[in-house]
Amino acid sequence: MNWEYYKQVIKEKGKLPENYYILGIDLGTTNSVISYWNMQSGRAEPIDISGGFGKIPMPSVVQFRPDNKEWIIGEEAYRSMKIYPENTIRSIKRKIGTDEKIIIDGKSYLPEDISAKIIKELVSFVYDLNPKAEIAALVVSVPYDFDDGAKKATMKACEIAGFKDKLICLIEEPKAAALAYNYRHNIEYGEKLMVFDFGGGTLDITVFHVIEKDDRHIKMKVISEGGEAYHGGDNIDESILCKCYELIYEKIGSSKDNISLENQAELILRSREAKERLSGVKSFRIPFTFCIPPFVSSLSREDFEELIADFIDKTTRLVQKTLREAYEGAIVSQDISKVLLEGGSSQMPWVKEMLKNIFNDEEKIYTSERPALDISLGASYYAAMKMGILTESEMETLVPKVEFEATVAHDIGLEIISGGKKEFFTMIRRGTPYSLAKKSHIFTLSGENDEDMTTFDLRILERIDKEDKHENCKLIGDVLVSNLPQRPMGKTRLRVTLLAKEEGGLIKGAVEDLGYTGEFEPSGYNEEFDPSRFLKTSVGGGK
Amino acid sequence: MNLKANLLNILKNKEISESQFILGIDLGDFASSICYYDVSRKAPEIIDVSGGYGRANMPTALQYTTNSKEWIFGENAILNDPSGEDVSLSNVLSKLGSNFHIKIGDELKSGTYILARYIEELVKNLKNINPKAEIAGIIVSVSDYIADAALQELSEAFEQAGCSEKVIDFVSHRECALAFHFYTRKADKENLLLVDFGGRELRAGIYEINSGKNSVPANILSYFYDDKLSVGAVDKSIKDKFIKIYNEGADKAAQDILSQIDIFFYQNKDALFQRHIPKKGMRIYYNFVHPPLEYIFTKEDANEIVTPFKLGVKSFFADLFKRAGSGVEFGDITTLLCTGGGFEMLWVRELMEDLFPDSNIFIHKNPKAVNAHGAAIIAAAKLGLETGKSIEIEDRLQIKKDIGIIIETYGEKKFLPVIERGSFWWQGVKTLKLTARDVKGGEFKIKIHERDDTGYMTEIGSVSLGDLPSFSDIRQISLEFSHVEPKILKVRIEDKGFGEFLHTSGASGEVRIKVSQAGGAS
Repeated sequence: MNWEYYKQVIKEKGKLPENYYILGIDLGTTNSVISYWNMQSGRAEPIDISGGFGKIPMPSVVQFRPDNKEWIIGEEAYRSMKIYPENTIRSIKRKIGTDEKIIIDGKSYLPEDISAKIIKELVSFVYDLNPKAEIAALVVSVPYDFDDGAKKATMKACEIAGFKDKLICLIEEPKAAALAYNYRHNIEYGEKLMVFDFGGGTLDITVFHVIEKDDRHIKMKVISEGGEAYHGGDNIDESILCKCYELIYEKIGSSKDNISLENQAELILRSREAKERLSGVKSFRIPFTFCIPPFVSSLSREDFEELIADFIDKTTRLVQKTLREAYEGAIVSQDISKVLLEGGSSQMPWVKEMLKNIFNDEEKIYTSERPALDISLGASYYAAMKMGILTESEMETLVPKVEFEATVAHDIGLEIISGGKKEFFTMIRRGTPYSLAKKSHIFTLSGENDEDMTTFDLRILERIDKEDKHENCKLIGDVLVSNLPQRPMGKTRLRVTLLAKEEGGLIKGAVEDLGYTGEFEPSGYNEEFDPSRFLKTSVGGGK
Repeated sequence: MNLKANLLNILKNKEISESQFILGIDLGDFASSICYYDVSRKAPEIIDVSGGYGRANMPTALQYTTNSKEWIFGENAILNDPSGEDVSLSNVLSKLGSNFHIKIGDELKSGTYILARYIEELVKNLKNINPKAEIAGIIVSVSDYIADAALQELSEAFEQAGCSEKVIDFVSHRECALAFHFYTRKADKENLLLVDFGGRELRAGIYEINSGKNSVPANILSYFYDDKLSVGAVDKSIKDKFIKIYNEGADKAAQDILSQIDIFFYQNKDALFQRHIPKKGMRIYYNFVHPPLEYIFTKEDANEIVTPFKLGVKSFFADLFKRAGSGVEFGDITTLLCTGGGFEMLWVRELMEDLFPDSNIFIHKNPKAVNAHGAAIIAAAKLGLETGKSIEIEDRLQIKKDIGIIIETYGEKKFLPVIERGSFWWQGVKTLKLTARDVKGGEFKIKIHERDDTGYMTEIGSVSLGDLPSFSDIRQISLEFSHVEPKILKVRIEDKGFGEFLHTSGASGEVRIKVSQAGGAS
């Protein structure tokens, strides 16, 4: 049964049945969190997935143990990576959307296969909460600027995990954060909120403008979006790790190549620990127990911040760029009323310090009491809204319902040949509200031979940064359009439509034959397509 | 803004701005919690000091690092391996009232100074919710029957932390726990057992709850505590087991396990004791040794640790019920209310289910934070925001005045306390031996007095030896003080003679005196 069936049951019963679970999943680079809509408390609550380890978030670490052919996921996998280094996979989110193969025990896995194991493990904890649980619906969060391929791969991971029918949609992480914030605090009409979501893999910076507010609802519009997909806590771990290798070389003359995989895993653990601990202490001693002779090296917070100075500079520039490149004209720091810090990496003291310098007002910086959980909680709120739970009258009086006028994060377009040169042709501009993100353009088909008039390749591209050239654009999908009516060269006009879906920002499209004015009537050819990342999609019956 | 102004402001407006916070704080021996009263949801909410990454409560631990001259707190203080002259403190609360001092850097610092730093840090977390946060008022949850000296030092610590004007009151753990429990429930006649399994002690009290519309009348029937059954004692056994495993399995050449075992314990205890250990056992990883040691921790390992405690807890409850009088048995408990970190351990929860199969057992998902939740509710009520039920505990168990006699030494009369205030009626027999000189024959009478905390004395009765022969030398008189029930003090007097030279006359006397102070609401 799919989520729409459950939605209908909820509607008929007028409440959420006890065993139905509406879930929100934050599938993070470093940690993942699952939460559910708790009907009794009337709010989203995280599920303790620590297995008693004390931490609610589950490390996004997957491990295969060849001795008993067992998959271990989460905290135990993280803790034992030193013992099983060659079969431990972490930060898989950084690879999602690519076709990079991960070989484990002689078998090949795509990133979505690994992510699926994390999703499955997360959902298994729902049954600890209630063995009779029925998963009714699911919303999974993704970074705002995840490309189409990464979004599709995330959906595929849900499918592999067995939740294809339960997945309502994907939600952008900043949107989820804003939702979670709304359920705890007042959002004022007219204010501009910046969500600074700094996770293990990604920095997402989103500016929301509250454009409508009354007792019943709040409407927020995304007016700027920035950050970077591969700019997160993992980069910092990497810097500390490099420093560790330098220290080992200085002390005992061993290079990375001479260090066993087990000890490399030890250094990875220590690097992460050093980063986390330096948020709470000013100096941390890193032990190098496996070195002969063993030694200990102190890393002060000052040294640490110097080590990642370039990274800090870049983060600062990304914030400034987000303000500068707002869709409706640059905004200045004074325009922002609140900066909401989300994600584990936002806990590092330099982050707050950097934002204090940019915004010149400490009281604007909201650290969030549970930055690790907010995205997942927001996803649960969104799922509850989609399932009709939060539209019930008693809920509406609790907190106003939030609507988003979210916008498309990147330029979406087609590859065209103009003057013999391949170019990116923008169809949907970044910053376009999803409600308007359906754009058509009429093209005249040309080619070198007859076959070119009936069959052609439509390449759909995504331009992540507005300065990116055609060759740096990401391929969303290749669509083979075939069986068009045979006409002379230049006598076929086609309407190509692309549309970005608000729920998850996935791209779909259509090709329609318009004939040629006066000479050829439209043939009725009108084919829709849903491009795939790796396989060529065919429309019109071609193969 | 001081409390009075705040209070008036809130009462006048009947609303509180988003930046004003009403707090409940529970400073525990092992972990502390801070809650705020969420005015819009009309419910207490914990302030998660871990950012959602770890435990919502903050370990009551501090460390002073000499290199960076900084204080670090909570989990950071536990996980940071101290070096050189670094000072780690994890039991500051237990030292309250003892005028404790310790050398920090070049200076001698008091326990109150150190606790004040911790309070500052705990309260600072409020800024994570709202950087403009201001405190409207605080209720501090304190140990039941806290000693006056300890309360005085705790109050000073809040003053040094800059919060004294915000502290509305100090309220006992039991009152906070009951306030939280009855916040959404009506008080009906029932027997309620409140168990607090904390870092320093296992405490339990049996309460006879009576019906009340806006109040919870509670008469305490029995109260008992045992420090040998504390979470601290369980933790020590677990650490010993971890060390034993290490000693048997690791290549321990020149490796200093003691510096790491606390961290290892902190990281692994919950995983092993919060859930069932599967048949195949649970793997634990001594990652801090080289090469890393992997050990499969089995059910048998866990049983080895917890079995003595299980037996101890059973016997503890048997004693508690024995003292309850009025025939209250295990099966008469309607509600079992569980608080304290001990209830995070599965075996404790299961044991309670075994001992009280017919009771409604309430274990909050964060049992360490129950008192802070209740404190926040009481704070909101005191500020006029919440019409929560008042908790009225009738406590006849603790002796609230000194009981003793007046003696004359070298012509000077002075009060000699035999039973000191703060002790419990059931705490055994107190014996006093007096030397009497040149006593005329006939009745020998000793007057019994109570002394209140201002030093004012009242005669409450007397005990006498009826036929004591006259003597011109010295002889020993023995006095035994014991309570037969909360209100009744039994005093026995006996002639003991004097060694081999003066045999006892066999004269003795006994009296039961109604003591005035054993009663009243706490």
